[in-house]
Amino acid sequence: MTSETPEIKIPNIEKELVSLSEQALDKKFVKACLFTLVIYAREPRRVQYLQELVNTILDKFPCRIIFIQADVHADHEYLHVGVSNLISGQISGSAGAKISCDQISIAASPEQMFRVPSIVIPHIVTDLPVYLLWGQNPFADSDIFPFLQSFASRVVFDSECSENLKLFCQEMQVNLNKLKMELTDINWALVSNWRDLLAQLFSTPEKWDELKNLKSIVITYNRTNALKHPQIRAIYLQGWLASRLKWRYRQVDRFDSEVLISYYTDRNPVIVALSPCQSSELPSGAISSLEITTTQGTHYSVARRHQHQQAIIHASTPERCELSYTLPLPNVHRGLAFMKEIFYRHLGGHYHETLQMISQIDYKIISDA
Amino acid sequence: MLSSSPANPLEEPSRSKKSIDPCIMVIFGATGDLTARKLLPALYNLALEGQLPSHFACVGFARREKTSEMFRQEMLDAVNQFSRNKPVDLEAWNAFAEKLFYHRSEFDKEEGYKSLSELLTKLDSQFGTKGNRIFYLSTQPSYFPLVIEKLHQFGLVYDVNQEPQKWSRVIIEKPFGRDLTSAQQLQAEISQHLDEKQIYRIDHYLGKETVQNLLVFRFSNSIFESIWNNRYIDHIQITVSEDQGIGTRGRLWEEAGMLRDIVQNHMMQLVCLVAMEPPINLKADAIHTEKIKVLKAIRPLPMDSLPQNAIRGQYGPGCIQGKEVSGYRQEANVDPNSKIETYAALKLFIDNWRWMGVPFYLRAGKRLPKRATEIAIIFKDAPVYLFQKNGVKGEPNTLTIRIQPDEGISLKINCKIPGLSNLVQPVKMDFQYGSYFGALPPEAYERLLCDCMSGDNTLFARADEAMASWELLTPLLERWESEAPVDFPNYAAGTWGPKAAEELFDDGRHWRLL
Repeated sequence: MTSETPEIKIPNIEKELVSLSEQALDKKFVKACLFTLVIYAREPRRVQYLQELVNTILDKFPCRIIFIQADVHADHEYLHVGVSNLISGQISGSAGAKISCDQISIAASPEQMFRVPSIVIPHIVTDLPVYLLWGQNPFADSDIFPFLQSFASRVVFDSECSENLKLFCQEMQVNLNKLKMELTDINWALVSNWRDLLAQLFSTPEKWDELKNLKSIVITYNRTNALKHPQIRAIYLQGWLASRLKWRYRQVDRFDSEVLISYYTDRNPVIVALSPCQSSELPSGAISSLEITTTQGTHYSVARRHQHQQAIIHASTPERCELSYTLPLPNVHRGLAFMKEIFYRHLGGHYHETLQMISQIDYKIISDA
Repeated sequence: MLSSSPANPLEEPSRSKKSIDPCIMVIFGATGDLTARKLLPALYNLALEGQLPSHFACVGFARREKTSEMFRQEMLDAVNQFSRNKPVDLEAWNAFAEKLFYHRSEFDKEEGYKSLSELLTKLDSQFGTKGNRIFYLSTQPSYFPLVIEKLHQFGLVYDVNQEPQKWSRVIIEKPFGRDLTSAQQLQAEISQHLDEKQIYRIDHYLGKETVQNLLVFRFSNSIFESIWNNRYIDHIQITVSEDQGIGTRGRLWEEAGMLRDIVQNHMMQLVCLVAMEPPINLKADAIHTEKIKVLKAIRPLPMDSLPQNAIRGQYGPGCIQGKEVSGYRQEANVDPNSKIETYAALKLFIDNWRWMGVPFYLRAGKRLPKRATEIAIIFKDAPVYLFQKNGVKGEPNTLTIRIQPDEGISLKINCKIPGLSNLVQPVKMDFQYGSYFGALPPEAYERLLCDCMSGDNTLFARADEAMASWELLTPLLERWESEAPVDFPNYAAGTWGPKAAEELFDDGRHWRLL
């Protein structure tokens, strides 16, 4: 709960929301709601990140927000509830009229978390989808997730919050087979643009042959201190390639800040390097470029042009150098592209196989990098 | 898993996109309004959002003397003024403008096509566009056959059977002919040089988000589809209302009129989408097939009782939103005694099982009080109206699909006013696209150009659709041309059209007040 949201009594939540709505109507705001979004942040350091995600969502899709903030380090017991109005985007073509949305904020110490589902459930908007945005591995949470899971149309989770990625991948593989609901792994969604780009780059039978002869890949990603596992998207991307191309995991090594993951293939070994860079233009953890080399000496350099939602590709062989060209690389960190990825895509077989592949990696070596 | 995957090991079936081939787009009539207001802003927005093929170039072809550099500057100004993404991202524009060229020629000069061919070959090697071509004919309709003939003569359009490795497509702006005979003649002329698969008859209404949503609305909401018939629907009104006059289009309008400009294409397409049966799938042919069935089932207009079924009008001077505006005959390049209609209203019947007896009222007008395009489905009254007071019945339920502005859908229902009496008040359940999906949807031309580049003609009119529509309206056009109106101008600008338009209705029905 933000410091400016006044605390209210739990039985008054609906009354206070109605009062806020009336005030908003007086200001000519329009109220709209497409779904209920329940957000759970277990660690205070994740709150800002999740709040930014909420703002991104609200920018495009008005919804009722229920923001649950746990504080695992709290030194006293508490349970605070507040309500507020959030402003979603402007109504297009309507002379600047704005859309207001309800937000219910709940902050609790660990001892009080068991009460939270009983506060959330009555305030879910009926007949509309319910999305859970979980700032931790949802399957590791026994206080709230099990109670809300049956109402959820989709669970969006942030694998980056997991303490142990290897364990997370293993748990997720088990749960993917058991769960009936739709799931979204934010980090998988955030590399969807690179997966699409690579599928386009290698879209012809001649290029599929090149894929069989890959020798090395360098994935450069933006490393900042904002994330616990800043290389997670690079790991997903290389894990997806490895699983699609049927590589066999060999080992992981580290040289300074660079991580090298080695694979066997039927023809030759492949080395994937995860190389950090620092960019103020890119979101933390975002991939900025790829360098792909085959055993025949064909080289692809793929560099993101962030402002243009494109990547520029320079391809060369030992004999010739092609004209550079561009392929679409939409910014999936914001806007409608982000919304489509997290709320509408189905986690298919590629994700499952990717988890299988990356669950073999020794993360202790990576996380020390 | 890999064995069941598509041949490309990296392609995820659920993520596969329309493939857009490299290509060059040549716009004939590139100095016209359409290019500046719609086509270039659409191409720029596609480029900005990474939707253009990576190997792409665009050539403007027109008669005015200018260089590519001048053309780029003019188009930059146009994009600055008309693009939905403003201000222009100069870096993105510069990258796009590098692929933008101007080619000056008369439309009938062979040297112009010869040098165009040389330019396109050069651009192919410069931009890797692989010989694929889109020719956008944004010229006066009389040039369509000539331009297509010349394109064929100089090998710029390909024989689909002989050159399968590259493609050429021609987008033809409306109107496709002036009447049935000229449309048939045009079709005969262009089909000498083009296969039907290469012809894209554009109707930008079909690219609008709300129009596309009509199919989703009808065929994914079973509650509406089950009452979408003559048992429950009393009548349907389709309105295309413009508050603007004809502006600088005086000369063109004098040759066209409302029936040709709006009714024959846009409105008939809307009728099709409202009235068609569910297609067997969403492929282009399946949808076209259902639309043509509707057009063929429309009852011909009865020539012996035309005033009860078709009304025309022309605006005189008046006031729009407090501002005085001139009449049609006072507009630039308009005959001061013009007999051309700026308003048309029709009553149509579709003689099939679903729609027998349900009138479709269509009206389109210039200089009406406001800009609004909508489809209204007016349902029948309840069989016994229990809440009648003083002989006054309640309002009929009305489902309104607003196409522009404020795209959305509303349903009017009757509701009890709180209190001891049984007073009834109509209320609206309203869905506004803008309120839920704040982002501005792509412009219709963006969607349609993208579809053409990927070879999808679902949202373009097929030849038989254009012919069926002309077949229906040509007798009316001929009658109107042979019998000059005696009462023009018959409505003042800023009013809802001629009084006679009310005479289309009987049984207490009336035009909706928008």
